[in-house]
Amino acid sequence: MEERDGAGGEPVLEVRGLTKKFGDFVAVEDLSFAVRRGDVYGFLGPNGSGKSTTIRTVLGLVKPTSGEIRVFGRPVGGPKGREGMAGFVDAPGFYGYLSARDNLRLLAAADKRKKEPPIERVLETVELSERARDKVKTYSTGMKQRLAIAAALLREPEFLILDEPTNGLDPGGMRDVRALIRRLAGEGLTIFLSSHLLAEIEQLCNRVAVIGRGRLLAEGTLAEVVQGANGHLSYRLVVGDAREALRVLDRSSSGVEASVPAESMDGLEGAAGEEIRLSVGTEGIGPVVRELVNEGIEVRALVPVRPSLEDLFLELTEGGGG
Amino acid sequence: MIRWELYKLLRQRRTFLGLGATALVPIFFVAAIEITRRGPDAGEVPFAAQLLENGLVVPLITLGFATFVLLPLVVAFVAGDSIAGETSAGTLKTILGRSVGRTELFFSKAAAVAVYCLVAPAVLVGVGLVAGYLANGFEPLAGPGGAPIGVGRGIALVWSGAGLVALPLSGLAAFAIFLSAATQNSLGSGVGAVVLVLLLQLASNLGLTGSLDPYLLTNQFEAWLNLTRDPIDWEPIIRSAWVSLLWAAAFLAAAWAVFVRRDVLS
Repeated sequence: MEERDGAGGEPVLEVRGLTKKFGDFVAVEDLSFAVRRGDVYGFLGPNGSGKSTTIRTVLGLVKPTSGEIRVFGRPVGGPKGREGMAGFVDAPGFYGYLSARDNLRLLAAADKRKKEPPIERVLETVELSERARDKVKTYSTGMKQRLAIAAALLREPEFLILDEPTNGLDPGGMRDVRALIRRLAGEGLTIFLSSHLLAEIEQLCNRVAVIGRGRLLAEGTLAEVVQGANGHLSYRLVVGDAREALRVLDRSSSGVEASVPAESMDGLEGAAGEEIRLSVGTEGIGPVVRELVNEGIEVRALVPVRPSLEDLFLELTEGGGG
Repeated sequence: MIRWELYKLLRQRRTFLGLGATALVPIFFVAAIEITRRGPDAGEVPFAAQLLENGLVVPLITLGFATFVLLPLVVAFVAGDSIAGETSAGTLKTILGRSVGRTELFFSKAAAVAVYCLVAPAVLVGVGLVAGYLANGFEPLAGPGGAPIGVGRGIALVWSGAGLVALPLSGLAAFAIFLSAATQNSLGSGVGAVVLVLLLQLASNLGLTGSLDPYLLTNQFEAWLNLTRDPIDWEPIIRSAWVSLLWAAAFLAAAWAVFVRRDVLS
């Protein structure tokens, strides 16, 4: 297998040709991707795109109609297939009439490990130690989400599956959960993070799969996916005289598209001047800059603009990119 | 896992609503006869003649009464919740994401429900014994054959009766568990099991069941009365036991087959 940037260890999760139908409804169709050791793998798709169904098949809750799923090389389905893996799907489900600690003790019993379960440690990790004696039905959404992460960590997994872990959290809660995910990734866990929040995926993940209507739309490193979507690169250029620069670029044969943005976004610090948006093809930005300088245009700043995952996502899911 | 399934049962309000209702029956019964000083006419109900002077009769009469509706109802609603309740609370997906297999989880649940089938009639007769004793004290029973049954044997008879009632209750519980697994609707499963009881009782009373009558689940609830004969008539007791266990096994197997295959979607 080829070495990719970021991680690139042996495959932890392999999904091959996964299809799941519910009657006539096709929830997931011919889905294939692989998560490698060390990845924080983003699984991005709008609500109803098949993310949860995919995760349910990985966790062995739902039987695929066809296709194959392996975790650590073992087919999923029975208890053996869940070894080394832990996670949750959809809203966390806990016994509301039991305390958080009792919930974790029960789940530890269901884990059947000989080792003493690290209940107090995982409670501390998600900062629920002080409320551990309270019944879960008194918990807020954010606390339940954190308890779900604690429940997953209780298995001391090498591979962690998190389905929209920041769903329903306030901004502070989101920040805490993301910090926790970053910390866990730093400790060497391979993480599969499903989300419809682009910012979240951008902040946390090194690789990403984008799905829509049950089909894989794009897969790869963030950079690959972003570039692969539209095939050209954008730049913000600050010049002394924008009108003059546009005239030069209009005459140019370099195939560049130039425009003056309706409003300059946030102003490039230390580079006062007038801004132009450039979109260049595969030949790159070099010839354009050379031409401008040769024509006596003062180039004060040049900043590549990465198309946001948001743009990319809309392009993939709505703009015929499926 | 059985321990945890029992613990969960122990912590749910539904469990105690059922047991509380069960415990209230002998208390109301004793209160009523203390106030009215009238029991049912002798001959209609076994042991009714002694009702006003012998407390040992209280658990026997209330057990006979409770097998018609109350105990099936109480057991049906706990058993009907066993799987559907976890599906709707989203806890089934949580627990099935761990290392426990579906078969083990299923039989742990079934075992916990079976314990409940034993505890419910035990609570009934336990409270009945206490309430009866406090009201009238214990005296030897006048058995149906006329030969008196000593107080010691009478108490043993009460507990054995509760134990035998647990068998058809388990059969009914298995049906409720099957509905619970198949419909994933807790309330509907409880109601469905109660409806089965009522339909079988109706069919039997109308004489629609013909030669199948001895094998109806609902006709196994009175087998324990044969314990009061002297000597004990074991034949109907043994037949009732295996008929009840057959019902339980059949519906448990069906429920298991559904449970291990079904996609967990909530």
